[in-house]
Amino acid sequence: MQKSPILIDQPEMWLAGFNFFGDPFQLRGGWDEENEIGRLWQRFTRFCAEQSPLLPPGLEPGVGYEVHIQHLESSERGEFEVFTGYQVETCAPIPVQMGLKLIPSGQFAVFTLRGEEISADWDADIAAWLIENGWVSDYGFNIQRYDQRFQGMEHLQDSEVDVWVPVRLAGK
Amino acid sequence: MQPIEPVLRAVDYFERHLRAPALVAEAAEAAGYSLFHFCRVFNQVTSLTPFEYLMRRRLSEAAKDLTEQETRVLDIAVDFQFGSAEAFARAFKRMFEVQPNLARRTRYDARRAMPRLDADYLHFLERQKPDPYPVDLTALCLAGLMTIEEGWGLPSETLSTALFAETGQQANEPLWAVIYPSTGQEETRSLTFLGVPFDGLIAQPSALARKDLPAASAFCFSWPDNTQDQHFLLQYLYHTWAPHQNLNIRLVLLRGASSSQGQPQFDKLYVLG
Repeated sequence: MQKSPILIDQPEMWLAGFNFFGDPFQLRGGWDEENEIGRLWQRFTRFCAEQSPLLPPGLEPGVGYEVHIQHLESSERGEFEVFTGYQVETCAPIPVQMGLKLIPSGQFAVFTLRGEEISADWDADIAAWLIENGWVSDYGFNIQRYDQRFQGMEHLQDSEVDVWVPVRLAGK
Repeated sequence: MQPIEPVLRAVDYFERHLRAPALVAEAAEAAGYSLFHFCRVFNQVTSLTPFEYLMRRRLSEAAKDLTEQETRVLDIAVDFQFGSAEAFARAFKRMFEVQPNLARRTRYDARRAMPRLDADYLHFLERQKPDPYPVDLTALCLAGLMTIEEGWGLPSETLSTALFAETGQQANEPLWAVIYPSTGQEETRSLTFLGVPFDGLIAQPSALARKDLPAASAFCFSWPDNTQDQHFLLQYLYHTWAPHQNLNIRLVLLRGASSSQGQPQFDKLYVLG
């Protein structure tokens, strides 16, 4: 993981896609296309492929987002919301099968994960880096941004993913 | 594969909190992982979610208290951190297929109980990766002997010795064990049939009983050589795999042959729901 993230000021962002709530690894642990996150992506990509005329246009072709959102049940039971989607215009009309997720504006630290780092405990590494450098991330979510640099689960070694973590300076 | 030690630290945390408030986030901290990564790793190593493990352990210990103590069901529920007797009864019924009050009177199927996970069991899961595949079994006609066995219902040496004495079984001749996990009695006992395939058109040896098994769909597991691994596989089957499949195990079959030492040697286990 690159040790110094890029800091960006990100305006609010609307994502259209699908979500899951629960333990994302109930079906299978590890990095597996058959766990709930893998299935969520499969559901999302299949819908996009088969229902393309119904979809709102994407603002960034070839870019997908995976948002991990902590709820009250996260620390108690290990249950999360996971949202997969792509960026669309504000309040874009979407088919009923999809959902819209508003990502609030704010300052984000962008870390680039490469190869093995993608399947490692980067959450913990990022948390340690933030503390060490006087930053706090207590917004209860982070975002993974997948673009053409991600080559798929079978080619993690050759892949890159950006992780966006909403941050504020400690004490502010 | 993930290291087992961090998961064992989380298991230790859960064990210390069976009768106290517990957070999966604190278990993750004990393991030294972020919460999200912890959930990923815990299931990869144990085939259970962390919260599922905590609940199954609480219910298993509560089941012991129910049958060994006179404590009121409500007090046991509260002791194990359930919000109400109803919530406890619902969870207990889901796990043991019996209401707590009835379990107290007639006992419960202890094979469904979740023991504390330890390093030996987790190494077994890592080694064996007990992931079954579905198979279609053809009809079987067997001649053999039946008895009531304790515990998992594996055929005892007495049963195999008696069968081989009747059949004059030679080495490498096929052999099947048919285990009915429940005799319907209060105690956890199994009806176990050990037999050899025979042509149903000819008469079976008079001392032997005949058993016809119709063709059926089943799940097939590799049966380990090692006795400890066999017990681990059966544990996994009852407390993890079957609940995840929502399957009530109706019948277990073991397929194998007689060894040159005159002992049954099985290589496949089939589960029928």
